[in-house]
Amino acid sequence: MKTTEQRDLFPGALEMMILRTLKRQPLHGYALVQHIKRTSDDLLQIEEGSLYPALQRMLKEGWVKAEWGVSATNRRVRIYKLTPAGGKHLEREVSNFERMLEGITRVLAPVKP
Amino acid sequence: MNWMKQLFSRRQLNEDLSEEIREHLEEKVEELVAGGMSREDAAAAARREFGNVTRIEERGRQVWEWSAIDNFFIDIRYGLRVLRKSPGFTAVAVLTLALGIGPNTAIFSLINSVLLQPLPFPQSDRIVMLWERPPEEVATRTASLGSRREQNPVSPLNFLDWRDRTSSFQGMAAMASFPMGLSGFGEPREVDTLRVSASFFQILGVGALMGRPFNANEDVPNGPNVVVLSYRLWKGQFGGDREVVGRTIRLLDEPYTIIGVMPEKFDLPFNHAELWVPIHIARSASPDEGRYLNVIAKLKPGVPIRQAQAELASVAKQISHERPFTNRDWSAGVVPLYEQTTGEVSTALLLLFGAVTFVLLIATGNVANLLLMRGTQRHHEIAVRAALGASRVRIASQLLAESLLLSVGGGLLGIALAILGLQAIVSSLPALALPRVEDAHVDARVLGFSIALTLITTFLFGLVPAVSFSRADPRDALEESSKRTTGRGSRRMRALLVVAEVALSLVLLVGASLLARSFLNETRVDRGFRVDHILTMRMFFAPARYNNVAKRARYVDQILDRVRSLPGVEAASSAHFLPMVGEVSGSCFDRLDQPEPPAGTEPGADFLIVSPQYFHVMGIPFVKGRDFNVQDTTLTEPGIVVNQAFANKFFPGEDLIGKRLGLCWNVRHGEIIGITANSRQTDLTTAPKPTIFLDQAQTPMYFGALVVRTPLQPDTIAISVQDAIHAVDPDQAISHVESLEDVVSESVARPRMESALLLIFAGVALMLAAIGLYGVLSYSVTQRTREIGIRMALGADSSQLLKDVIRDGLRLILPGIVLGLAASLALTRLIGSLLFNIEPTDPLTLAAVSGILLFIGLFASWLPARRAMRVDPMIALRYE
Repeated sequence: MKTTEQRDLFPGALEMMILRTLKRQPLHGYALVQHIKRTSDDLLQIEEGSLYPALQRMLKEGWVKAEWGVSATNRRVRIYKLTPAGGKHLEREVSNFERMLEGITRVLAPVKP
Repeated sequence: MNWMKQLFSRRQLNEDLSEEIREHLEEKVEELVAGGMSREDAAAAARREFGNVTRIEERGRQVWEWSAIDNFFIDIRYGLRVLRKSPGFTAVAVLTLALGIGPNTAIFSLINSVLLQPLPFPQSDRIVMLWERPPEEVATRTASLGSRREQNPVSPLNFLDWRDRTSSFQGMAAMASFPMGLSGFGEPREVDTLRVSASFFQILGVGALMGRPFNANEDVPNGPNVVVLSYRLWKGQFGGDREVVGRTIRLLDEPYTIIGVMPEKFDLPFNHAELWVPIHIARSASPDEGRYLNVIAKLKPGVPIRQAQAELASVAKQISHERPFTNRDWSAGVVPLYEQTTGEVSTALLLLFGAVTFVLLIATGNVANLLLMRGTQRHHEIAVRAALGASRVRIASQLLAESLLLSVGGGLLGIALAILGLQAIVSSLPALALPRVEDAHVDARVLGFSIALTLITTFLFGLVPAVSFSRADPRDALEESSKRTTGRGSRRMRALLVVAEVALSLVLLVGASLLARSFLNETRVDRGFRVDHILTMRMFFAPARYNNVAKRARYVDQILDRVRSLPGVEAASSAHFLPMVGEVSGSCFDRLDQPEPPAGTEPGADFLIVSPQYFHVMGIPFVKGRDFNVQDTTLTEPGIVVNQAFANKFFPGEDLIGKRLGLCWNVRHGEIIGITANSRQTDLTTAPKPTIFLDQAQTPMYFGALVVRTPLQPDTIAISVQDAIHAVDPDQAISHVESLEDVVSESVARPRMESALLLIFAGVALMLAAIGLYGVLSYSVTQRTREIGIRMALGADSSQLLKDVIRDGLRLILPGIVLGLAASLALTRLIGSLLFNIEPTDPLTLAAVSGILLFIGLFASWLPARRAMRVDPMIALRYE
């Protein structure tokens, strides 16, 4: 079986986006995925389910915490919160990402005559 | 680590995940419905957007898995469940493995203790023993240690020359074993004493626990009477008294000062001395004093044994020129102490080890066969698992986990068996029959060996089925599941295993039978003396008290007079060495009616010093002439009794009676007064040698054994005989009070144990091979029930069916026997040195063993064949 979920994302991108989103406010899975979709103006095609293995991985690493709670629509939901370790990891990842992006941008920049 | 916590909290985590995903989908559906979609469409859309729920849940769970360990535990749990469901199979497999691993562990414990443990002395690889090597013709020897012909004890003068003229050794010590009466401590008691040179303790490199060992001023002639105690004696006789050094004890009625106590484990592997006293060897010793010393030495660092051997041989050559009278053609040899300790027994132990390896192989073959058959039955189950996506590795590892469970069960039971068996073996052996065996126990090394064995067997019997079944193509298997055919490959594998088992058990059975018959030959050999109703005991006479010939002669006479007058005593006599204890003296003689031969060329014979009636007590008949009697005294011409072998060899066709001999003994000459029938002296396997018997009353020794004949059970008169001796001398120490029957029996304790063990192992092997054969045939009958049913429905004769099954059996048995015979012919040669009066290729044994195996094989085939005959065609056709 092929894994298609992250075909359009580089490894770690989804995690980074989740962490970034959670940094702003704790959210449950559904809200989280809707937020990412909306914010990216639906440019990123994410299979909604692929969020959950990623969340499990981050739970295991200790970057997020989860607690059962009640959502605004009065629904029983599991709300994820960023931990300090998760915050640090996010900073590191973002700076790595920026450096990588800068490198890629330079390579892709039009060649000056 | 927190993986432990994770293992326990995982159920909760997984439930959370599932619920969360469910909530997610519901929320999505609600939203879509709110947006105007029908509920059905919304559910479909939600799932589409979400992806494969099962797969995602699985991936989420995988995050938490410790997969290798998890899978292992899953396999083990599953394996336990599977095995619990078929208790019969499990019991047979575990028991079979235990029968394979148990004997291996027990024998390895023996090997570990006897062969593998280093000697408990520093630089023990440099410690050697030195022996004289007699010329081919003369077979004169005294003491017991070197039972090999080329290892003759050493004469005192030669020892001094070796010590002073060689440079390969950094120390050389003489030792002589010599029981001494210890008195002044309650009941006088004989203690095993080793007289040693002062350098003995330095060579072994072990210091005293208290006090000190001997120094160089103490092993000289007229040195002080000092003694070093063993830990055992110190703890036992002296109650571990810390003030014991400096105290005086009486040995052989002389005062000795205790100067030291040795540590607990200090012991030579072949001599368990209770105390040590200095040996006094003087240059002035008479050259014909005899050869009675054991010599131990330590090589200088870096000196190879070959160099030491060459040097010693050249010194021996000098000596043989200087003192030809006693040394002509004698040489000398160096033997490492380790080899001395293990040489004789290593062949037997390795033979036993080979035997138990065979048993293990057969057991392994049986279990592999069981698994193969079971695997065929489980083909369906495995195919289903493969169809559901289990990888080959997962299936193989699950089958291996089952094998591992079986092995561990078998291993544990086997180790328990080994511990029990080892106790039985060790306690059945008399002291020193197997050096260092008393230390044998299941230690870390033995356990490691058993664990390794368990793992190896797991792979041997587990891997074949694991690999062959994990290859199963799920489609084929599922389609064919109703037919349940067995693979051709696995059938051939099972047949090969059984053929190999039959062959291995035949080899083992041949070896065991040869050894058993050899042992029987030993016990049935014509000893030439009777053993029933004879009590024996051994004594040393205090030299200080009985310090001249007349006193010693009179002392033994007085003892014998008292013993003979006891009720229940028919006759009593003495000999300086009992038969079958490996001891005899040897010396030279010449015929006085012929010209004196050149010095050193005199013929040699065994010498045995006995009291009157010895031959009567022992049931050795006189061929001619008379026994010693009370008229023979130190004042009359010494009488000589010889045996038939002596007469035949040295006086063929002549009348010996009245002939006079010159003797290399305390009495220089004597007259032949009688000829007796032959009897064996050193051991059961040594043919009677030409022997000269002299009268204890005319040439009394310092030690002797009583032989007392009684119509009663020998042990019933043991107390009264000892009382009679103490009535003559209350301080006389007495040892080895036992019946002659026991003396003889102990002399063959080791071959008896070896052949008994080998027979047990061969029996186990035979049983396992028969079970293997039975299993394979009965399985194939079960498989063919349908075919048999059809044939019977079509009118086949049931006796034809019987023949068919038995023919199948013969196809496995006969090749096994042929292979086994070929292997036996090649292998039994190796045990030739252990056999007595039987050829390693003895045709009767080979034929009988093949016959037994054929019979048992046919029986094992007949059982399933009979079942085939009883198949009810109707049931058989409905089978499946």
